[in-house]
Amino acid sequence: MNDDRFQRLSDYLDGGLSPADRVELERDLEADVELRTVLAELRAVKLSGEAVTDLSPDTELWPAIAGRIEADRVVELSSERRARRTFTFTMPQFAAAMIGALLMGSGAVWMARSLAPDVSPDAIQTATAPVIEPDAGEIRLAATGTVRNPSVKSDLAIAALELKLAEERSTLDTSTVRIIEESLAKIDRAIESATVALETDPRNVWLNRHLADSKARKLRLLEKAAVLATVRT
Amino acid sequence: MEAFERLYRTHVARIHGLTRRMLGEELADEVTQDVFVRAWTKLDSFRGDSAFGTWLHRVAVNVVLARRKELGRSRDRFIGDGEAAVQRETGTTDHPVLRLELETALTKLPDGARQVFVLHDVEGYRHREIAEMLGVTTGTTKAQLHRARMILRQYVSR
Repeated sequence: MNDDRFQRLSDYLDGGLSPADRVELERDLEADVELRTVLAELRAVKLSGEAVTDLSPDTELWPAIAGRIEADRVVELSSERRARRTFTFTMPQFAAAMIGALLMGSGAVWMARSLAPDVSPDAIQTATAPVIEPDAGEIRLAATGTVRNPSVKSDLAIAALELKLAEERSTLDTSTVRIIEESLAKIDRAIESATVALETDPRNVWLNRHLADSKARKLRLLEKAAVLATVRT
Repeated sequence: MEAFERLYRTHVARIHGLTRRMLGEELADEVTQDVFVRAWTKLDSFRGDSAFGTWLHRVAVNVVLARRKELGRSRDRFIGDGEAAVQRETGTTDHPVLRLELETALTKLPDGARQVFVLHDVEGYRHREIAEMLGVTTGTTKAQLHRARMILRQYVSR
């Protein structure tokens, strides 16, 4: 059973032998009953594998899957919001903000001292000390920030996908269409307001990034919608 | 989400079959969930070049292989687990085991042989594709397939 002829039976079944090897093995098969028997058994196994039928799982898995997807979306949304809270200042703006913060801080100390003389200086210091929360947003200087200008390529991709979605809109169910349209409307408003604001301040880093991010979001949404439409057709 | 649920309904049986045969009954539900969650997050990368089912199946295979890796079913074990198991199994021909269901018989295969048999004979992948997925040579996958069939023939043909 371990001789080379038996080892080659699977390859023979799968059409993997060279013409010369195949002819040689077929000659052996004619002469050897045991070899023919094993070949028939291997063929039965192969056919059994191909004929396997799939059954749905006993447990309903969709609620758990939907829950996990929703949870992921919440995480995605909150990180998007966090990203939107990221502020970018130019050096003069940053300096002005720091001066403002110092003035407010000292004003608060002065008020605290004058209004609450019984409170200890340590407590006042703690209450007025600036606290920087890592999640509250990061401060970047314009000199190190990157501006992702909206590219023509992304505009073309959006236009193409909008066209495709319009053509295949009828293949999607109404609630999906409604969700997509509401989301698109929100993104379009963000794009429009950023575009208008950029007309007066075209070099504003934050606005440029906001516009690029909004377009990227729109592109991702349209791609997802197009996939759903394609899959349904 | 409704559209995605319809996709789930259409494809869940095949994906669950794959996870069950590759990883066993106990992990099949959990990994099937993983597959659909991964597919949702990767949906943007589906460009329509292939049928959605084909794309989804490939996502599933990747998730399954990653899970197998986590479980420590390593390449060394994949290569080394064949011969002894075949000899062990072929030694049982005198037992009164008649015709078992293929699904049950699959659980008796060593990991490497089962993996290749499922991917080749059940799922229809070619040796070249399987070798690429598993990081082994086509010589290894062919040897594993032959070993799997040699073990299974005792259950299927009697």
